[in-house]
Amino acid sequence: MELRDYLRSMRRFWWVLLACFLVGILAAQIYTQSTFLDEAKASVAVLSPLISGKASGSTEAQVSFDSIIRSDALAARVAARLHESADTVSNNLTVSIDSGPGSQSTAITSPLYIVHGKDNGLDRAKLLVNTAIDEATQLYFKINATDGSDLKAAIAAQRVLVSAELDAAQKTFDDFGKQNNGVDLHNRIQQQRDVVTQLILATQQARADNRAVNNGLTYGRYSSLSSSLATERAELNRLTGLLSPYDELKFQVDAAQQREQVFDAQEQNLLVNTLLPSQVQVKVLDAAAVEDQTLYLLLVFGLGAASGLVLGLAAVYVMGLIYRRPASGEEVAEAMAAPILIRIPRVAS
Amino acid sequence: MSELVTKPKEDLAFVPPHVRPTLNGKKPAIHESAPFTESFRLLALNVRRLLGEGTAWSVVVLSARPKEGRSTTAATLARALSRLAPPVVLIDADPDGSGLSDIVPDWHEGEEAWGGKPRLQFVNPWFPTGTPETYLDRVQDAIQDAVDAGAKVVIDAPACATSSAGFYLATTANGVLYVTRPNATKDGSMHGEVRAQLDLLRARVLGVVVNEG
Repeated sequence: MELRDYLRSMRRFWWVLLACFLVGILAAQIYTQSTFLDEAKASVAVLSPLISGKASGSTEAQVSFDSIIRSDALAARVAARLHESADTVSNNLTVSIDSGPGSQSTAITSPLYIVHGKDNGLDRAKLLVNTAIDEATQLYFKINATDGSDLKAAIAAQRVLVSAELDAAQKTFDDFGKQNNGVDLHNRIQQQRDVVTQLILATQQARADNRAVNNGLTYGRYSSLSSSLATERAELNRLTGLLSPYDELKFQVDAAQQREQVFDAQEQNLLVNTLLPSQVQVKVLDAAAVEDQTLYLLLVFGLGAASGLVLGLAAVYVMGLIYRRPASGEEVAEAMAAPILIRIPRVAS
Repeated sequence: MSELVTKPKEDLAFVPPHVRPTLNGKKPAIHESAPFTESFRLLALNVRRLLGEGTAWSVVVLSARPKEGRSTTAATLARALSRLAPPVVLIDADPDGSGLSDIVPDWHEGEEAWGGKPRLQFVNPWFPTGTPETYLDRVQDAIQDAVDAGAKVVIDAPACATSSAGFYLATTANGVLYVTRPNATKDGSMHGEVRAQLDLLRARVLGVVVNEG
């Protein structure tokens, strides 16, 4: 069928197109009426298990909040509270993760979970969402709360050892400083260098004076300064010789302090996981509220209308093929590209 | 072969029109109602205006399929033309037999002559045997003789769906009248194909006659 013939069929069977279009709309309406459920949604921020769990040294598997929302265990608990079947609750509860605009990182510290719930009636939808979040929070805390007593004991035992090491290193270090008069050795060496430098300058000045004057008084001063310079130089050499063992002892003290700090951090992180209440780890940002479903309805009705239109176009095509109509005089004239000269009238027999 | 020709070529204008006997004495299927006659008078005027008033010419009456009113149109147009611009020669060019023989017979009863010659002659170059090529030659000869004699020629050609003779005649005629009966055929694309073929043959389509009868 050529396009022109199809357009002609469309003009002829316009009512079929219209009927199919209306049927599509009607079907969308029926579908909406039979399946439509009011929807509510709430947003929940949850401290990432990466923070509350593994990063704190926990060796237990962490279960994310969305997994809990999707779980049958939660559906059963919510169903029990709302006196509905677990399947219904499971089907009507969905959750999505809003990582925020522009966020591409998978390691989100506090992912935002959007919990959707559908039910007959807005109040029931809201109730479903709120109940689900309440139960999910409890479940989340129950499942993910780490029993840190063993870890805590182990950390405490090791911390005692580390503290003892630190004390021993510190004592050795302090004793070394006292015995060698090398407390704060680097400053001591710097001070000694300054003293030596000043003595060198004074000695040189005294020698110059002695050459100029050349008497017994100036020579005595020069001799005294030279002696002091030799003494201070010897002290500087002694202090410099202590530098290597001093640094080694200092390093041992620093290392022991760092180990102790690591254990302190582990203890604190363990506290986050074991002692933080669920109210801190799971926060409901937006309580259940009615979700606007205009877009959904537009989509359903749009699909219905589009389907009806396509069906209508196909039906017009088929009807055009089945009910082929003879060409009218005007259509023949159009096809012949010639005017109608006359119409021979019907004559009664 | 000459015995089969209804009249000799050399004296076309003065030979009484050949009239085939009506079938079983059936009354000719011609209508004399005012609207019917007036419509053909208008057609005759249109054709004469399109092809020229003082000169001889020929017009082929074509249709896509049989039974669309081609013979009625040709005969009634010829009759209207004969009253408007005689002399007129109506040629039956349908080798399978057109409806002209059922239409024409009674027309000459009481027709006034025009300048001592019949206003309208019916030429039937039929033959019971022979090849189509010979038949077309006869028709062409008849057309040429009539034009040479200064007559307006109306040719009842066979339907395009049954014979290519109509296309052949259209190439030499001065114009083509295309007859169509609305609702006669569901194959509307055929008209376009006929037009395309006529264009290919450089035939001049004067217009369409819509047969609503």
